Amino acid sequence: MAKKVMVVDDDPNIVKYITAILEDAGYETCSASDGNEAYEVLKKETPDLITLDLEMPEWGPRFYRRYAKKPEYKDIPVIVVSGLSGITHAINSAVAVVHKPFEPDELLKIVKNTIG
Amino acid sequence: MPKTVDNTILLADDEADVRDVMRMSLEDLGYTVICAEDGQQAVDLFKEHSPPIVLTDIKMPGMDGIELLEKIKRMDPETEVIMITGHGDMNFAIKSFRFDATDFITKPIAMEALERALKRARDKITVRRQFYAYTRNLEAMLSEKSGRRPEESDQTTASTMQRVLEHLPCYISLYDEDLRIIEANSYFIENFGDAAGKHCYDVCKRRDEPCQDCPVKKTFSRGKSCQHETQYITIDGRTRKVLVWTLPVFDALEKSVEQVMSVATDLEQVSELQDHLSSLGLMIGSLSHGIKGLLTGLDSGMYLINSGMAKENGQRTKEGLQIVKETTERLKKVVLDILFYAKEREFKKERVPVKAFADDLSKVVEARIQSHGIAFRKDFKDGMGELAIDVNFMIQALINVFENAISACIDDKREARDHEIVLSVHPENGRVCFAITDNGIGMDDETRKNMFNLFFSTRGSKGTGLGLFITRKIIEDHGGEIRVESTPGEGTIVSVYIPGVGD
Repeated sequence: MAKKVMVVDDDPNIVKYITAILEDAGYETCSASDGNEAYEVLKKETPDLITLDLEMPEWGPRFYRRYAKKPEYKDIPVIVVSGLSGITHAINSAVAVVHKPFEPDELLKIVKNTIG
Repeated sequence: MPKTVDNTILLADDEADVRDVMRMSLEDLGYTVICAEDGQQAVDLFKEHSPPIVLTDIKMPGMDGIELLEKIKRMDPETEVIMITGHGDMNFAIKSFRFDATDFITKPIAMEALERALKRARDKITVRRQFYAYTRNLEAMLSEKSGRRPEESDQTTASTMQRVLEHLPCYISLYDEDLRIIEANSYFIENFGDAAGKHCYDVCKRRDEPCQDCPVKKTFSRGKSCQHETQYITIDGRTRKVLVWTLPVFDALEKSVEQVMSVATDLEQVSELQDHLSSLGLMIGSLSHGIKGLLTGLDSGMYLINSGMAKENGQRTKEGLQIVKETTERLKKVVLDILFYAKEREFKKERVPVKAFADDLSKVVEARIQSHGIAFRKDFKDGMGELAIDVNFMIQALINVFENAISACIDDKREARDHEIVLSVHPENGRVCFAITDNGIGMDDETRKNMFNLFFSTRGSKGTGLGLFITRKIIEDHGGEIRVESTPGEGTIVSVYIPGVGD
């Protein structure tokens, strides 16, 4: 079965971009545009990996801290995709930090290395 | 860091992990850190330790950072308060500047930015101390003068001093117990008029009664110097932020305070510079992030176009094109706004007939308005005289107003409401008024008050918060004025007045 990735970003163009890249590579996707919505989608879809923008109406790290407390979600790997510099340590357990703008292959490689 | 500056910092943040990380980093920098979990605890700890610097998160449950800032500034206006803000808190950030926050840094916190903010806070404290030392010297001179019997040599001292006082770039004035001005130096008279015999609150503040925390009164009753930060209004209506230092002048027996001298230093230039620096810092932070987002948007569009074409998926290609088009527009606007803000501009003013300018403006905006299904109506006639303006800048300024009128109509989702934007132009008391009326959603008072502020935007990621700020700047630089009337649910009228040049 195809692995599922949840894309969290408040810019619809970027959601479209990342989901298109991932779908073209054979992944399933779901998406959310802020931290609160992300939590709802997470419960419903239980994705295998999350890409997370940090600066959103309901701040990214806050969403992360919220779900990372739940034992059933805490092991879902997260990739930070952000336009902020100096964010390397915002989410310590992130498998990678991708800076906007990024190369599609760069992101795909990280996803592939993480969930296959 | 200089020894004289107490190196205690009060840190208020509701998130335990943020607090821990910050405390460790600050301790590494040599500070003593006191932590508070919320606003109330911060107030209590502040009272106990009176730290010179406070770092506070803006969003906290209960008492938020803004309220804490206000409280601290009321307890000790000289405390340097640095605000910590998450993305999307820009309005709060601007509000905090209005309450006189020293600086603010964005989350996630980059240590460099934090160190810079702390350095700025320490610099401010040092400068203020130097200033106090300097006024204290003045005070010493003054008591020397009033304490001794007048002798020959004192005459020269007195006149030297008078010359110094006369030409200091400070507003210096002398008061009797009734708060009437006995004497003032020329800098004071230049800015507030010849005020001898009048009350200070009338002359400097346009008030009918004494201010609550009047430092002159305090000095009369306590016989001690007082300092006070406040705002004066000059004779031509400009607001000046000033630091007031009041000194008692004793009678010959040194028993009671006979007069009080007030030395007010104009902080406006300092704070203008600081505002500019702060907003530049703010701008680089928020815009570089915005631009990266837009560049990624472009990538998104290009990817959809390319993969759409490869897969012969017309829908996807179309979507991609649309994204590229939108993003390029936005990018262009952001870049132009930045260029405008970052550069000192020189206007190339030329004389243009009002009618011709109004026609040009209409041509530019008409298509844009109609493309959103909004009607456009012109209401002006021939022969309205001429304007001396930089046409390009003025058109840009007015386009920004139209952009907002268009958004106000688009955001109005009520069915069966035909939207219309009207440009009416007419002469009024030697000026030309351009009134732009829309029947969109309108604005509440809060929005109307903030709409010209730098980085205020109601349009989320679509707005840069620069447009109307720039509009007002262009108009004011032309000696003009912009006024706004708005009713939520009914619409908005923006009136721009520009000085005319003859008929």
